[in-house]
Amino acid sequence: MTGQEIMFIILALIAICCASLVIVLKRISHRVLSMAFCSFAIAGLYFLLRAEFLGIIQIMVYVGGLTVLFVFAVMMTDHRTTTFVPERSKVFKFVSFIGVGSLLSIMLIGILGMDLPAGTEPFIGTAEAIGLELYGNYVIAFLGVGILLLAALIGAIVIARKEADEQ
Amino acid sequence: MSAYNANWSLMTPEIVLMILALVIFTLDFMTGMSRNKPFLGRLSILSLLATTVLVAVFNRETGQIGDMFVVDGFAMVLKIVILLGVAGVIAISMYYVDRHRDVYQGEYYSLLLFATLGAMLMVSSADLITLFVGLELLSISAYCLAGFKKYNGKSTEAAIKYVVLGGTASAFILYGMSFVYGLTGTTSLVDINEAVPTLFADYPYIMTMAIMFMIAGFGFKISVVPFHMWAPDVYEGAPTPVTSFLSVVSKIAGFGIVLRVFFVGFESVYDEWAFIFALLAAITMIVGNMIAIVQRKVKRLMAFSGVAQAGYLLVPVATMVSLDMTMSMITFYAVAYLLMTLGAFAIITLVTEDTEDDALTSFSGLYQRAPYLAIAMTIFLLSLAGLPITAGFFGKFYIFVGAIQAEMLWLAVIMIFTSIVSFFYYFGIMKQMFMRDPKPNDDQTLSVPKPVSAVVTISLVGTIGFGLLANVLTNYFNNLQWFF
Repeated sequence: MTGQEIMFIILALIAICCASLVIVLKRISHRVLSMAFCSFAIAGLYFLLRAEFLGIIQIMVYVGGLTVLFVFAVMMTDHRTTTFVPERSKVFKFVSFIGVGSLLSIMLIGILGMDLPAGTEPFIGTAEAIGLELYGNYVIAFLGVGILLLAALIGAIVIARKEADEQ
Repeated sequence: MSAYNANWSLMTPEIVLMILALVIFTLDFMTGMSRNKPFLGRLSILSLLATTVLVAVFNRETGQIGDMFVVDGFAMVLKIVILLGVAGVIAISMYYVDRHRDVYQGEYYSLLLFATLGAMLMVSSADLITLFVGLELLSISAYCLAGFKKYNGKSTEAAIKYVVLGGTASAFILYGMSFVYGLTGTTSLVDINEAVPTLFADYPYIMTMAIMFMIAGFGFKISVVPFHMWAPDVYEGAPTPVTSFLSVVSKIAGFGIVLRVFFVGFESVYDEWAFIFALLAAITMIVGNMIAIVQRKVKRLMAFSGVAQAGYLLVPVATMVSLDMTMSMITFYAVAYLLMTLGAFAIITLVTEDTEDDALTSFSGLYQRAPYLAIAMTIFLLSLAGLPITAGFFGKFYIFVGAIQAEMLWLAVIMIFTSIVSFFYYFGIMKQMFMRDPKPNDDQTLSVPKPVSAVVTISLVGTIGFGLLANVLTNYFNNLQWFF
């Protein structure tokens, strides 16, 4: 087993454990923290894949930006635990567990059974290559994302804002 | 391709609509906190109509900017359908927001316009990334719109269910796309189409899995069984004009992306996925129509009716004889679906708002209260059920003939059988309108606001007109060059 594989297994385990903790943990601040660690581990995976620029962006945007945004969102909105439907029965949980488990095993069979040649190109994720693609080929998608963020912002403000007293 | 030597004039309608949407948004916060701004609604309709004209002028010729943005017959027709659909939705909304002062009008209209922009991007791109960005722009705007009545528990519930399930569906689409990208090394659908036959020979399991993931995700967006669970709850909870947006525009745009991805990107392996669509179409038609019978609320009934209609629209996808015929059938039925559903929703909005109740019984005695609306609603329902002299009848007949030509007799039989089942629930509404007396505490006559009656009249003329003169549209569609 090469060093790269050992690193991959460690990082992948951290990513999966932290991602599950986001769902399992009860307090929202703990969830945000485990999400940050999950993003860190994914950034590590990018470094392993020789996509350094993407790895750094992942740390800056997800660990730095997004986590802080989550903390702000937690601080600024009042949240109560509400439920729409009663707690699901044991049978229901068991059936959904079986369903998700079989989906996972179907996927694993496919992915593990795949035999792909290793990539040989050394510099695939450089800032220059990404910049040329993003502002050359994919510029329409890039502009579309701008509008997407604006729409998300407007929608979030409308739904989350506290009403001012109207006189 | 680089951004500097592209023919940007192809994007004129999108750019103009984007600017107009931003202008409307800006006008809203320049005019203060007042909640009643009817001029914003009128401006939104005007900008949509202006964009429609631009589409008709600028998108006549086929052209493309790389594979990122393509203009062809398919894109042009679906863009016009979507733009007119949103214009109708906004006309209905103007009545709704007038009665609900807790809805922020400027944000409401600009989100609708942004969603339209996303839908336009969805139907005119041949690249997975741009298609996905368009899809998310539409979806995220729709999630917000569903929760616009934030002090109404049902609306909030609808928005949360929609955002969680919709996010899951997007994840499935993206996961399927990432497998395709990983194996082909390209996001352009044209290049993918060239690469898939050999990939299917080498990696049949993983390619089938990728296609299944994408079908599951797209199936959610167009609400086909078994991915339809969200539709009744979201349709019921969302504000009624938003429901009409989801069931008309969102669904047609969803079909746009499905057709684009599968008929441009995976056309060379048609035999590998056609039967999946045939199965989906069959169970969608059966389950949608069966569950609709037992519904007691009109918005839930329309949700299941919409599920069933999606099943009819999937039939031509599964029974392709020639690409042009299939596209012609789907677009004709999409036009018919737009007209009849939009008209029906205009009346449903008016009636449920007037009686403040969305049970089927809110329609009781509509014929005595507003005879014109009752007759128009009857025509829309007959068209949805597929009875003659309506556009819905011809659309269904066209699809039926196509299924027989492709020798998919079992699918054609299921289609006829489920259409007969659908008469029961559509006639349930008619029975309420004509054979029940109005409830004693309702007004004797229902006054019809102008925008709603305009939508009803235009839809009515279209439904009957395309029913009688269907060949005008089909001749035009048959001579169109669908894909670039």
